[in-house]
Amino acid sequence: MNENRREFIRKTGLGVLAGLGVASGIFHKSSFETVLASTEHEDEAKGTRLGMVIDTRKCKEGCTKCIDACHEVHNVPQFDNSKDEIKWIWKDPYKNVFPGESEQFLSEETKNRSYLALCNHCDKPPCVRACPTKATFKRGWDGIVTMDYHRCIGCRFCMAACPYGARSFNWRDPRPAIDKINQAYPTRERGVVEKCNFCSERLSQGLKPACVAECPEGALTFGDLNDPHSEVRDLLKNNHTLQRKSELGTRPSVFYII
Amino acid sequence: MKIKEQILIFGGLALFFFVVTYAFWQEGEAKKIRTPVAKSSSEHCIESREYMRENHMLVLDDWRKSSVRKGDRIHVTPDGREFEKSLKTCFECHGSRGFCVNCHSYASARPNCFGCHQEM
Amino acid sequence: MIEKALTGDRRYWGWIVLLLVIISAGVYSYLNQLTTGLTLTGMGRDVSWGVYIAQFTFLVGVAASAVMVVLPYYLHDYKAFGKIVIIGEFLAIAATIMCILFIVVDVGRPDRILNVMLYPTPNSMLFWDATVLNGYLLLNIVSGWTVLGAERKGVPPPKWVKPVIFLSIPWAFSIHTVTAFLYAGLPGRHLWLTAVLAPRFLASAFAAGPAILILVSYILKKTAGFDAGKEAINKLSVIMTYAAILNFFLLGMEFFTAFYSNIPGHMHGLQYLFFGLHGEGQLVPWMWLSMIVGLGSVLVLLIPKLRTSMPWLIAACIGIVSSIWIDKGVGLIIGGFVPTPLEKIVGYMPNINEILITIGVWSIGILILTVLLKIAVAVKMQDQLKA
Repeated sequence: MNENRREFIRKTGLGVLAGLGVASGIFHKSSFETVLASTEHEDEAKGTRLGMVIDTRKCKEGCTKCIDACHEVHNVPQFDNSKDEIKWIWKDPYKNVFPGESEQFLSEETKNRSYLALCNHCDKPPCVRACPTKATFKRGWDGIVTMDYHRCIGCRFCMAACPYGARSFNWRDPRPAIDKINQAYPTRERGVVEKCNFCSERLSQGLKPACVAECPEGALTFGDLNDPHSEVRDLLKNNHTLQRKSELGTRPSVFYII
Repeated sequence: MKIKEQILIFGGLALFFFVVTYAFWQEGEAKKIRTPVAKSSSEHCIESREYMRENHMLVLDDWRKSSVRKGDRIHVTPDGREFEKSLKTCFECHGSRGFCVNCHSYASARPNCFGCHQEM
Repeated sequence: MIEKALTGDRRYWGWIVLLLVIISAGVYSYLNQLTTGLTLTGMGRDVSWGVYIAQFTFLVGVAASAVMVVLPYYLHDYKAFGKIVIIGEFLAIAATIMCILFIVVDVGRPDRILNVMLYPTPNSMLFWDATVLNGYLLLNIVSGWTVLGAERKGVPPPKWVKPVIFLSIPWAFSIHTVTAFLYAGLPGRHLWLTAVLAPRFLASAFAAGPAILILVSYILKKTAGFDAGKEAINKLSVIMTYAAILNFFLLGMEFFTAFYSNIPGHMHGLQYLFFGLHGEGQLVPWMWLSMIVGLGSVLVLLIPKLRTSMPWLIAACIGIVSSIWIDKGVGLIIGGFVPTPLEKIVGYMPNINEILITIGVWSIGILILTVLLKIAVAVKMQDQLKA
């Protein structure tokens, strides 16, 4: 071997060792140690984080009271084709709402029931990360993921980013497709994305979200997930629950008792 | 330069100036509009009439930003009165969107509030 | 220099008029879309991006591929690319403008599009994409125009333009990398959630871009009598061959990872595209057409005798461009949306208004390219005449 090359290798090796030494000094809890890989699912209770627990056992098949109430209150248009469709909350079978969950040897009852799907108001929302104008954002004071319809440019990046299909786009003017316009809440315009807002307009008046208030079975419970004494936390403590696609690290704020 | 070309150039210039200044050749004065009147006296408004005439759009813009994005829904006037930041608040005194449309259509400035908000 | 685009024979003007007619049809369709809404496209709640974003993705690649002539010429002083480098830069300008137009026609509220700059959001990849694309456009206009202008006057280009050109080299890589990041960072879109998406984008771009460049050079030779040189074309075809092989290699990686790991979500996108899922396979014929045409072209390119024969090379270039256009322009976008996050199979078919707008934007790009190349060729030919 060439003398120069040997020298070069020797010096490089020493350099790397020295570098590692320095690095281990700088990063005191260093990367050489084993650390717990999954921190995504741990609780970090800071401020208010509004969330919902859905007791799917109580949810009646064929009942659409919560859906109707939501869509009526928020002037959600009803188009009869799936292309233009806009929905904030809807029902779908188990395999569609929980695609990652096992369907092997599932009880017929669980398999055939319909499950409510709505925006999960994720603690780490991918839609907020994707939005190029901050038109969709997470409210710092209560954790609701909401939209500023004044700012949305309609690029639909958030729709590509949402792993739950919770977002709809106004492909055409929504007003003609609204049966009964609720004067107390604005409509949207053609060209913007929209989604569930956890009824932030009702919350500001001290009311519960429309779907929660309208459910005759009391299947929906709403409250602060960060408050250990809240009703939702009680339910979470006493029941085994699912979050949709929790493996994606979005930390959904909607929980399901199956 | 040929005479023909000169005619073309100066004739064209004259025509251009005529077209550009045409509006000023007209006699007369600006059309009068009826100024819309609020249902109650202007002391009830959040600011003086003069201030609102000049700055209502800034007030509305500030209301929309602070209420939607910061959740701050209450406007407090310098003399301590409180108002909900909402177009509804405006129309409690000012009646209907006709109040806005009246001036706006005259000024040919289209407010884009009513594509979504539907206060009559 | 622009005056050089104003003199041409009847064929030139006929071509310009034809493009203008197609553009007007596109503009008319766009006005339709503006007044009625994006419901006039085939897109819907589930497949919420379609042919516009697909063209955008493909064209970012074409724009970036200019680096395949700029880099050898300016960085390695590879003289054979002397005549073709300006074609590459002008192709990049036309492609970048098309990219921007495809974004504009895709958004629901184009009147608010400046919000991207008014409320800059560094965590959004779209913000970065807008930034790098506009920057790239500027870099290419400045460097291409300045160098050509100097050539017209018969003087060496000003010194300050060198750093601009050098900057455009990494910048070219950045535009396609950031475009890949638009897709690759989204949880729950399995087809896109892959670390080799950006490398795949670059490989396919460096195959399709030079292929288009060869085709453009061929057309220029036939119509304007401008010859970019045999050596340049040969070298480009070699670059294209390597890049195309790399592209198919990386596609193979996707197949291995998805199917060997046997994770359903990872397989679904590819299954839907290439084999059909739950009996639905709208795109299966398209994807296989892309594979067969693409691999066939690679085979042609691998044989030196065929690669250096003009008719075979032209056929292979058309093959590579169509194959990658289908793969990137049709498969990638739709395969990312189907199956949907709720595991449903939803069809997508662009409709006539959408297609007219798409062709209109392409025509605007081709018009810009025609005018720019007309100028470039006129300047280059003036050199030839003198010499």
